[in-house]
Amino acid sequence: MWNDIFSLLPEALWETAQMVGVSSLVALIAGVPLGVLLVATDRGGITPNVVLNRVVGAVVNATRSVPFIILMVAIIPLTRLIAHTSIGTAAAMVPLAIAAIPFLGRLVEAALREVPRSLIEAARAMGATPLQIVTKVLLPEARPGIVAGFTITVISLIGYSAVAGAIGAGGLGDLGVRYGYERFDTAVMIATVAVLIVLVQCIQFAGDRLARRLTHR
Amino acid sequence: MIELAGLRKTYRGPDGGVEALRGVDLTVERGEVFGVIGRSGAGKSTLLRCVNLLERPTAGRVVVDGVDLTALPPAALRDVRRGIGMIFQHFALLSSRTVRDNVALPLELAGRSKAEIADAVDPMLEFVGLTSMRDRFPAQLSGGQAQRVGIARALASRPSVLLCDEATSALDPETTQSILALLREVNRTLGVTIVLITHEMGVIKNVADRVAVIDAGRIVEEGAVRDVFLHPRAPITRTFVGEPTAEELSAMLGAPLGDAPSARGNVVWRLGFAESSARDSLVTTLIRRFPLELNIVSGTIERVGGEPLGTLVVELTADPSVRDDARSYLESVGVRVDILGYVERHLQPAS
Repeated sequence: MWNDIFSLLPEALWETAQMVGVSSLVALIAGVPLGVLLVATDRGGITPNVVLNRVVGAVVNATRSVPFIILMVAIIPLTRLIAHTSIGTAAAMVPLAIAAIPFLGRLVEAALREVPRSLIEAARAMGATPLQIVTKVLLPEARPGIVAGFTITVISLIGYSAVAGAIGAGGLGDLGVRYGYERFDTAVMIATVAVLIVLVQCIQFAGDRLARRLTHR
Repeated sequence: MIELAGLRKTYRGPDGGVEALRGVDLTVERGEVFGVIGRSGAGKSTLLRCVNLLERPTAGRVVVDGVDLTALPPAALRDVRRGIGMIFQHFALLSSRTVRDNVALPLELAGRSKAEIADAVDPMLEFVGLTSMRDRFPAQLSGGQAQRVGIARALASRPSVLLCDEATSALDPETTQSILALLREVNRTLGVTIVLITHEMGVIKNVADRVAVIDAGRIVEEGAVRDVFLHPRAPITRTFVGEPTAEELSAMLGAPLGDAPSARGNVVWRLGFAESSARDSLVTTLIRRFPLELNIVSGTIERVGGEPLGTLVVELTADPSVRDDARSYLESVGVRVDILGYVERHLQPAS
């Protein structure tokens, strides 16, 4: 039993780390600009473009309404194109990232909306360009909120990555389902869950700490 | 310096539009402190935001330093805005930046080098007396300190104009005085033209050279602060200078105040006078020189721009010819006389 745990857990943890790590990174790179776009193009935003705002908003909502397991299957052609395979850890990163981008995008949007309008107005009065308003005012002021949103995204991705086990992605969730649930191996189940709990706690702790350090309000 | 001509601003709303400005013409001279006073919703905030085009007027022209801002393309407008500083009621400092970095922001936006920024920021902090606070964050500052940072930030790019949006409305009276003193210094030592909006006459009295009174989107009165104080014409200006309203006067008099001149009844005058005449015992002289009965209804002495100005509201029983003589006399010694109304009764000499 302990042999099982010691041989399987580290590998599963590594697979989870890979899936969550890569998809989180992609989500960060694409999700933050998406959030900025949603705020900036809104009516009364810094570069209003209501049509673009509505279209992007609708795409974001559509992506977020599709249950992850269906999204995963639905985008298999895209996954093949990017990962050159539709099964395994690498293949799981594609749907994970695609689910996470709009998720983080909305959280970033919410964080940016918390920035007082008066600060944007002050920046405009100083002759700031729209890009400068984003880089010098909106993003720095919303940083604690963005960090908090990113933390939530990473933790959600750990949950989603378990579902990705369905396409043979491996990882902790997959281990728990295959050994713990299907083979009634309670020890593996408990060990897996314990590792997940510790992992989530650590991420939340680190995220909270960073957000607090960035907050000067 | 600043010329607003035919300024109109209509906000579109769900039920038609709201006219915030209904044709405003104003000229602000170089080097003066110009105050705009109005109640909330009078349009003063919109008016100020039109000067640097944070609000684009629906119609009219905004000329600053000879340049018509309404005709400028965005990039040129941004350049002009760098020459117009602005401070805000709630300071609008970036919470994520230290005091120093807040003051540096306009220079960063203008693309100045790190060395240039360092050279410009420290003197600015010294000017507002916050050198020791340079590494603090705005959340660690008091309201007065935060507004000083706001002023340092607004002046960092060496603007020729400073716009003040209710700059002292969120501060306690003592701090207000120190910020107003700082604004005066900005005006006198740096030669910055200041336009400020406020709902408090105290602010106008303290710093402004000239004042415009705005009501329902129109300028109802304009002039040197001293003149407006001594001789307020528009009803709203009268309430701003603390004059009792017709209802209040009626209550104080214990009789209704009417507009119709009455030969038999009493007249109610408002006397406005400057220090020299205030020192002389105006009332005593009046009673000794003229056959009249006089009742003081209310009176105040206020400092306007450092000069004490007095106002007295008096009720007078006198023959029309005596009234005219008394009035001529008062005006000859520099007292401004306004008729507030008439009361149908006579004063009896105290026995």
